[in-house]
Amino acid sequence: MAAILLFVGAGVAIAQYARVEYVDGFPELRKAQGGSDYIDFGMELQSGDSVVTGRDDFVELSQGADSSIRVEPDTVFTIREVETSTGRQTVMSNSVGSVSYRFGRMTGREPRIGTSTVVAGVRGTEVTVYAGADGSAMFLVDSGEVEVTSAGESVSLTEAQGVEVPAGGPPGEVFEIIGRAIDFSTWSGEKQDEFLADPIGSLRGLEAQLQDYYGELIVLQSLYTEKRAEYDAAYADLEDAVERFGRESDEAEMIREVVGPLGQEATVLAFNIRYYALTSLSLRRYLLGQMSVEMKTRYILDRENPTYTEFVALRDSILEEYESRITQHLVAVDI
Amino acid sequence: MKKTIILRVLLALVIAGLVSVLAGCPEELVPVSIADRLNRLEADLNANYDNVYTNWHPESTTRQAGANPSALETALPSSETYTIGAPTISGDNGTTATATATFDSSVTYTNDTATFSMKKDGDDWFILSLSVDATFLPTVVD
Repeated sequence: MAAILLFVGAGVAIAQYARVEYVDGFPELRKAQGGSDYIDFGMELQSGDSVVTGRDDFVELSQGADSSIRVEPDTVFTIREVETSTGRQTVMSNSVGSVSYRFGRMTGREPRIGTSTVVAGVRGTEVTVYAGADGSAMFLVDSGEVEVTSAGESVSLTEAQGVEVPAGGPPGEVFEIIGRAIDFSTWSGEKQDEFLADPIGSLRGLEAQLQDYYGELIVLQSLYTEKRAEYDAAYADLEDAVERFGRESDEAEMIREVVGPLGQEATVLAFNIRYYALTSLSLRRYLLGQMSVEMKTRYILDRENPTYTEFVALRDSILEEYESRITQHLVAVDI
Repeated sequence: MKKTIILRVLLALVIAGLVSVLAGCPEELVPVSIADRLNRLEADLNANYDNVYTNWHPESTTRQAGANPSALETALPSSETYTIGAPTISGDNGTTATATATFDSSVTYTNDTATFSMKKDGDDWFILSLSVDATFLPTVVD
């Protein structure tokens, strides 16, 4: 008899990955396993893949028979999976830009959607998610229900409701969409203006979000260390029993029944650590990267400007902490 | 005379290069069957642990998380020697299939039955999920 090891269930996951139904322009696919490729009709997005659209690009994806995802121009959309105590869950997010979701009948576990900084649970929903250059997000619900959680606070949205969430902060007041004209370019322009008006504040919001991820990682790492120590001790006993009594002895079998579950629990924790590390990488790459480029462009002839120097100092400090907390969990293929 | 020798050396180098290229090609050009995939997994577990994750399908969490080999350590300890038996394949519809095979290692596994969910990516088969004799734990597939 042996330990049980289980990696990634099959059934539900297949339905929850996305297939390319329509492409306009020349969007790019950044692959989970590294490198990039063009996007074409019929391609299937896999966990960790990102769709990157330019100013004139548009991609429509499908999930199963009755769910669709519209990736609008100037957007980075990523699909990932996270291991939870009750199984896997799909997380779809846009770190910048705008994505509209229409979920039909849910088969299996409901996905989570959001931006690099906020996630939301959905139930039979048509929802649009905007991600601003300053790390803020806006959720607009056409139908169904969405629960948006950020900074430990949640709000529930139903049909024709929306909410804005600043980076690293709790959700704002829920508002009614009806009678309120909203389009992404206007909203994004406003967020861009807000970012440029207060780049330090935006950067602090991003920092707060990263701190949330670091907090999750610290908890997971602590649990993993604990579980790993238990596993290592049990594994050492197993090695000892194998050596003393034989590989197929009753003594070894009894210890295997302890080693197996410990190994599985530790593996799930290790996978979740990787998830948060990769999410932090996405935030650093797309959001912080975009903010830096924007500031460099804006202050190209005025590098001594106090706002720019303060931005650079804070950015460097964020990067330093990122390096110390996240890089250890990444490998070359992630980057 | 000297020119002829140089030409012969160059020709020999070109032939050697071609031979090495052709020798390297077939493995990449021939589709990876289910049995090939399990053989590769066994080989990687035993001698090339950093590449174990590459045997998983690109859409699986294991492929992404396992790119950091330490994430796999408590599932498939790197210090052990593994033997995977010849697979029995069922439900092959050309895209997905299930393979069962004996799964043995020097410490953790003792001729257990491993069930591999397989899925094709292009022409190659990859592992989507793996479970090994879940006698005392439920097989936690969503």
